[in-house]
Amino acid sequence: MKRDRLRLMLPLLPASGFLTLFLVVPLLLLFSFGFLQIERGEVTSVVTGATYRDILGDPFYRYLFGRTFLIAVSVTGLCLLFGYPVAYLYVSMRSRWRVLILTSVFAPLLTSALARTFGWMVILGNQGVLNKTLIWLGVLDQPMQFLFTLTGVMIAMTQVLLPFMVVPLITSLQSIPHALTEVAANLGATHCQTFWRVTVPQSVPGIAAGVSLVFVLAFTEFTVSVLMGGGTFAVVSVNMFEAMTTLLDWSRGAAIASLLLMSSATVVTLFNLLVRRLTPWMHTGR
Amino acid sequence: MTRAHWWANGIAACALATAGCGLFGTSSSGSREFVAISYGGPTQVPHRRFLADPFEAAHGSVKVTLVASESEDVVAQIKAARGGSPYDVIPLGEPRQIMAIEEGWVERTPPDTLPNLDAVHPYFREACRGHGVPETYSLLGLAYNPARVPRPAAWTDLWKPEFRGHVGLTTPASNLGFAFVVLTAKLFGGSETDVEPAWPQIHKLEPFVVASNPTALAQLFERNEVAVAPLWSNDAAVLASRGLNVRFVQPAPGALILVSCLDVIRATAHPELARDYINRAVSREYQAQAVQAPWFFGPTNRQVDIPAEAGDYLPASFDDFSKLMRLDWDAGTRVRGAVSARFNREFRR
Repeated sequence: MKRDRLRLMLPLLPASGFLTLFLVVPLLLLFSFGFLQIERGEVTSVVTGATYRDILGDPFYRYLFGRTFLIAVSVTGLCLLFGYPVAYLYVSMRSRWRVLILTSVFAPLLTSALARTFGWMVILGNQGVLNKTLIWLGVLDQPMQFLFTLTGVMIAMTQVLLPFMVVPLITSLQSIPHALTEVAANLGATHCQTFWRVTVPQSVPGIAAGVSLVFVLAFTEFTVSVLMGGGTFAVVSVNMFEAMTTLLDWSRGAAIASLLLMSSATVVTLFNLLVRRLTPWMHTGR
Repeated sequence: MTRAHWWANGIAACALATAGCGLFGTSSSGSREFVAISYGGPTQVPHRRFLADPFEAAHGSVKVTLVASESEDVVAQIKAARGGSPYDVIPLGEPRQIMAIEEGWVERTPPDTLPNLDAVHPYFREACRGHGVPETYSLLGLAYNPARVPRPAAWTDLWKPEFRGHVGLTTPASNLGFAFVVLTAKLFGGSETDVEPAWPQIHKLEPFVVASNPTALAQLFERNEVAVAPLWSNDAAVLASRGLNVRFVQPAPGALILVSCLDVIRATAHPELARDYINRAVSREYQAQAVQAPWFFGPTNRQVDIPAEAGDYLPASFDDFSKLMRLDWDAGTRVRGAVSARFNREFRR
C-alpha cells in the first residue's frame, strides 16, 4: 500500500524538484538577503535585522504598502465589476457568441503587457484618442491628464488584468447546474432574485479564485505602474526595482520583495478564510 | 502499465530531455558571441554600423550582439553574475564610471593595448580615470518644442510662468535626472554635496512629468506630453532628425558636459576582443562617422572635426570646452543614493 502510494508520487518528482530549485530556494535566499549586509555586491557574513527594522519603521514605506494595497483592491473590485457581466453573458449565450466573447477576453493575452500598456499610453495621452474624442464631443475644453496619474494606471491595470478575473468566473458559472435556476423560477423567484440568491452564491468559488489572482497580480504589478505612472509612481514594486538597480541596495530590495510576498500571501489567505467562513455550504461536501 | 513499461517510459523521457539539452547547448555555427551594452533607440546606430560591423568583419568568427540599456539594470546583472559576466563591454557615464571603478568590476585597461588612446584629448582621458576609453561626450541642455513654448535662454528660464505645466524630468536613477538635481542645487546656492536648495526649486516647477529614463523622456516629446525638458544633446538631435519640432539649446551659464567611457567588464570571457573593441571606439574612423547627423556623438579624438550642422548640439571646437559646465562627479556620486531616495519621496505620485 505504502509502496503503491510512493510509486504514484514519483511522477511529481520532476515538477517538485524544479519548483524547489527555482522557486523555494530563491525565495529563501531572497528572504535571507534582507538579513545580510551586502556591500558592493558582495554578500558579507554580517547578519542584521536593521534593514527590515528601517523599512517597517519608516512612514514612507507604510504609505507605500498602504497605497499599493488600496490600488490592488480597487483594481480587483473594478475587474470583478466589469468581469462578472462578461462571464455571465458568456454562459447565457449560444456557442457562436461565446467564441466572440472568449476571443475578446483572451485577445489581450495574445500580446505582452508591455505592448498593451504602450497601447494605453497612445490612447490616454494628451493628444490621445480619448482626449481628442472628449474634446470633439465638447466634454472637455482642453486635454485632461491621464498619463502619469493614478487614474491612468488604474484604467490600464484593470484592462490588463480583466482576463484573469473572467476566466475563473466563466468556469465557476458554467458548473452551476441549470436545474437550480429552473427550480428557483418554478418556485416563483424573479430573474433578479434567482441571480442574487442562486447564481451569485454558487459562483463564489470563481469569485474567490478571480479576486485572489487579480489582487496578487495588481499588488505586485510593475510594468503598468512604471510606464503609465512615470518614474516616481509610488507603489512597492517600483520602489523595489529602484532599490535594486539604482541604489544597488540589495538588502533593502530583498527585504521589500520579501515583505511584498508575505503581505500578498497574508491578504489572499485571510480572504480565502473569510470566503470559507461566509460560504459554509460550499465546503460541506453537499 | 507494467513496471517495465513505467521504467521504459521514464528512461525515454530522460533521454529526450538530455538530447534536447544537448541540442540547445551546441552552437551550430561555432562562432563566438561578443555582447556589448549600447545605447537605446536610434543612438545605437553608430555602434552597430560603424563599430560592431567593422569589428565583426575584422574578427571573422565573432558575432557582436548589442544590448540596449540605460545601464542601471545591467549594472545589477553584472554584479549579480560575479565571475561570469553575460556582457563584455559597457558604456558608462562619469558617475557610473566612478562607482564601477570603486566596486572593481571594470578593467584598468593597459594604455599600451589601446594605441588609439594617444589621439584622445587629455580632457577626456582624465574623466575615465585610467579605466576604459572616453568614447564620446554629451551635453545636457534644454530641449524644447518651439511651437508650444518660447526659446529658453538660461537654465533659470525653466522656472518662468510660460513653461509651467510643460516641463518633463527624469528620476535621478538616470545620470540625466541626477545631473539636473545637482545642477539645480548649484544654480540656487548649493553644491554637489549640498543638494538641499534643489528640492524647493524643483517643487516650484510642478506640475511636471517624471519619466524613468532619458529615452522615455524623449518619447514624451513625440507624444506632445512635454514641451521643454533637460535632455542629452544626442537624444534631442535624434528627435529633430525624425522631423519633430524639437530644438536644443545650451542654456546660460552653460550646458553641462558628461563624458561616456566605454569599459571592459572585468569578468569578460573575451578580454582581448574587448580591448580591441574599445580601442576602435576612439579611432578617428569611428568617431568621424558617429559625429555626423543625426547622432552628433561628441568626438574625443583630436583628429576628428566637428561638422558645422552640429553647432546646436556640440561645442565648435576643443577650445570651447571652457564654456561648458562640469560637475564634481566624485563628490556627487557619494550622495547619489540619498538624492535618488529623496527625489522619490518628494515627488511621489
